[in-house]
Amino acid sequence: MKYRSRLAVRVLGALALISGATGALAQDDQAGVCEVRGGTANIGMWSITGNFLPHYSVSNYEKYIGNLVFHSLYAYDEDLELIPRLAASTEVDEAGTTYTITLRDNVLWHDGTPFTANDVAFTYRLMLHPEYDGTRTSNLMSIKGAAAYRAGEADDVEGIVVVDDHTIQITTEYPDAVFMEAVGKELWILPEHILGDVPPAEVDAHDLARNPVVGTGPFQFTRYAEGQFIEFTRFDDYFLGQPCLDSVVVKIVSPSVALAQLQTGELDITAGTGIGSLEPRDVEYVNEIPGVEPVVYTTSSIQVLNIALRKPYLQDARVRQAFAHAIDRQALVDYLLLGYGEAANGPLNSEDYFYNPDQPIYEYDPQKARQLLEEAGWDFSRTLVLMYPTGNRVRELSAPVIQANLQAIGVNVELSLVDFAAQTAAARDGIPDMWLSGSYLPLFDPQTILYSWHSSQVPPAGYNLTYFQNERVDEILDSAGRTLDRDERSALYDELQVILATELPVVPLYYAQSIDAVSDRLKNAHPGPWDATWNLHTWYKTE
Amino acid sequence: MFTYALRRVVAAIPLLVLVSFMCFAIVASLPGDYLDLLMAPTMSGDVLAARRRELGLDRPLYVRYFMWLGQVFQGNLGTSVATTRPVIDMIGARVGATVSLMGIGLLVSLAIAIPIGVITAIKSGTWLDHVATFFAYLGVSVPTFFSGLLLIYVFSVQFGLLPSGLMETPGKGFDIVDRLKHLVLPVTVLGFQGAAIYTRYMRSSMLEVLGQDYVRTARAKGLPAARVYLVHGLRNALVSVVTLLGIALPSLLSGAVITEQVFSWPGIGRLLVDSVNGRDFPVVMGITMLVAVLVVVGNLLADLAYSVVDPRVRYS
Repeated sequence: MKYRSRLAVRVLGALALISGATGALAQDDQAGVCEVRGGTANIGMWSITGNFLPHYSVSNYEKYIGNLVFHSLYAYDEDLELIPRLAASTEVDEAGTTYTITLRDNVLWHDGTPFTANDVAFTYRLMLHPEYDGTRTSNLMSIKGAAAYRAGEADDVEGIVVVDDHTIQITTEYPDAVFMEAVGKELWILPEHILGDVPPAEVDAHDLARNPVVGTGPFQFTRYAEGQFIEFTRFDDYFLGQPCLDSVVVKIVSPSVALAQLQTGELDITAGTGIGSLEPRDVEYVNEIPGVEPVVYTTSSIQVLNIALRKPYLQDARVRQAFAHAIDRQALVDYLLLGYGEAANGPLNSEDYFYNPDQPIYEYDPQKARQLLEEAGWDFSRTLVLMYPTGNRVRELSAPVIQANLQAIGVNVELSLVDFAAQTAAARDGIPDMWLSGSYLPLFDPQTILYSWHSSQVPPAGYNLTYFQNERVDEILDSAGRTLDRDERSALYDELQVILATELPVVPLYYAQSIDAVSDRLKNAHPGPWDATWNLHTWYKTE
Repeated sequence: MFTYALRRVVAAIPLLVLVSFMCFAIVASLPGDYLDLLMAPTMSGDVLAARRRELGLDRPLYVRYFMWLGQVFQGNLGTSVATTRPVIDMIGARVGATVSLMGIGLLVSLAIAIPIGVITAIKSGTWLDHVATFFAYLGVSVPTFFSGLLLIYVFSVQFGLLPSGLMETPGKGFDIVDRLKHLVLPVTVLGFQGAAIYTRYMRSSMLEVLGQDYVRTARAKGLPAARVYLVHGLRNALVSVVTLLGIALPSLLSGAVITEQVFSWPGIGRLLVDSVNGRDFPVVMGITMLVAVLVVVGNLLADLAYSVVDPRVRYS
């Protein structure tokens, strides 16, 4: 079994990139990479809705497809370093606010039109347009003049300047710690020559959203067979060299069919965390399949017990600390995840560069929990509602365990199982006292992960349904987001982690490892916390 | 009979409007909406609020209902909020998959159930009857997700004879043999389960008919047994099966959710489940209303069919 878990190096790459110019494109050298040409890679994924512009959705299914079709300026490689994709190099001035991005001059859209800086400027302006109602605006809000343009007070975004066909200059209002990641990785560049005349509010209804035939990726979208699969064919003029495979098929299959098809050779690889990953109990089964290997890796996907801080009886931090002591998180990892995971101490996992090992850690200690409750004057006749959503088997199984753990210290808990949308609505309306949820962020910068604790993220503006607000947390996040110095940021995040671990707006439960499966015949395809398709053009298949 | 049919159709319109309102009220009262699922770090509250206004989700229920009904009377089922595609296109893209699976499944069920039902009724109480009854109970009680996985394991994984899921092999284009191969396993699951149910109905209906006076009279007249069973018996026993078919018609469109899920079949059942989970109300309403229309049509057709199979029934 392969095991990959090195997240520690992540982010450093992004920072190294910001600190100076990068020009080397060593990874472009693909000579001799394809030992075999031709063939099809079959990727298994659980679901799809059928609108493939990730700029309008938060679904990771759509994003997976969109990410195959459209490149961003940068991508993460297997060391979790940002590597130039549509960009060739980026220079940052000393103030850390002006980015001069040189683009590759050999990129063609799938219809043969050359890719230029105008496509980049078009995409960024679209995401900032007052009528754009998609999900990517916040990635760009640090750009100078973005707020004014978004509010309809300016005709153009001041900080976006097209210097020439292959150079674009972006100026931010302040040194933005996450700029390279937010703008570099999660903003797929769209073709201006196709969408330039479409009103911004109607882009997601354009044919390109359903048939994204014009992109910049190594494979061109050819067909979506409704509810079944998406077919891609090799794009010979791909700027990193002709892809090895003839075609790629993303099949929409149920996990049980996926296991069968891995066995029959109809499937070569699963799509990854949250959209195509397997259950802990499947690892042994996959291990038994000749020629197919399970791949287990750590992600930043955390499961937590949210606590409704709006409820007066849950406002004493000692009560929440008691819950943390009461829940046997290691048992959840050992018995429900079968060991494929890690008990969580805070929002950053222990492999994260910015993880603070000195934050308060709550060992399983029912007696201490009981004592804390008594100190806080807990009313033991009270019954709390613990809501949990369908859709994640291990999480569903964890709810009764948590209930039993809490009841062991005298806290009455009533369970309520609903679907995800119902839980979100209920939490928004203040119905449950506690609820289980998970988060998975494909972005690695701690600022992105931790920003959900900024008070600006409390409804109606944001999505932090615990209603946690803390002035010092706001100060830390505001300054850390504008600091490029790694040590300075590290000190700030250390303090932040201590505050969160003391206040406990959520009780961190566990980091589940992601479990993928990949066929031995498929080479160069390595599932991991990165996008496994980052090097799709080098994938090849042996017989 | 024509005026009768016309009267029934006209009478169905207020019924469907009532059904649509009840469905709308139920769907709209599901906790949570599409925008609750869009909450993410990259989505800001003002964008959510704007979209909620745009989709009309901030309006009262009855206003939303009349907006929706107005659209429907113009022949427009609305646009999916998740995909921005017209609902009718989304359903249309999946009708073929569902109708072929459910239709063939139903035909297979009947092809098994009618002869076995007749034979077990004639031979009631014999070992043949007991064996058939055993299999019928087995078919009714084994859930399709189990039988489906069992078939996949045996025929796809172990013997590699049949594909384990989907409706066609990617990259093959349209190939009738390929399509039929993909149909075999899910049709077997549905056909077996359907056959088990219909066999029971067929058997009891046939038994009842065989106990009637006119059957005894026919036998007493010295008519050959085959003629008595097939003309006097079967024809009359089919009346109850016609009722069942009227009820089964809507399922041709609504699909078989679990079987579709097990075989990754791109049918309407899966679309409906995904749409409910995704709170894509226009799609949910579109499918629900199509099924409601088919329920009405199915019952009407069943009533009209009675007059064909049962000479005593006359409509005017």
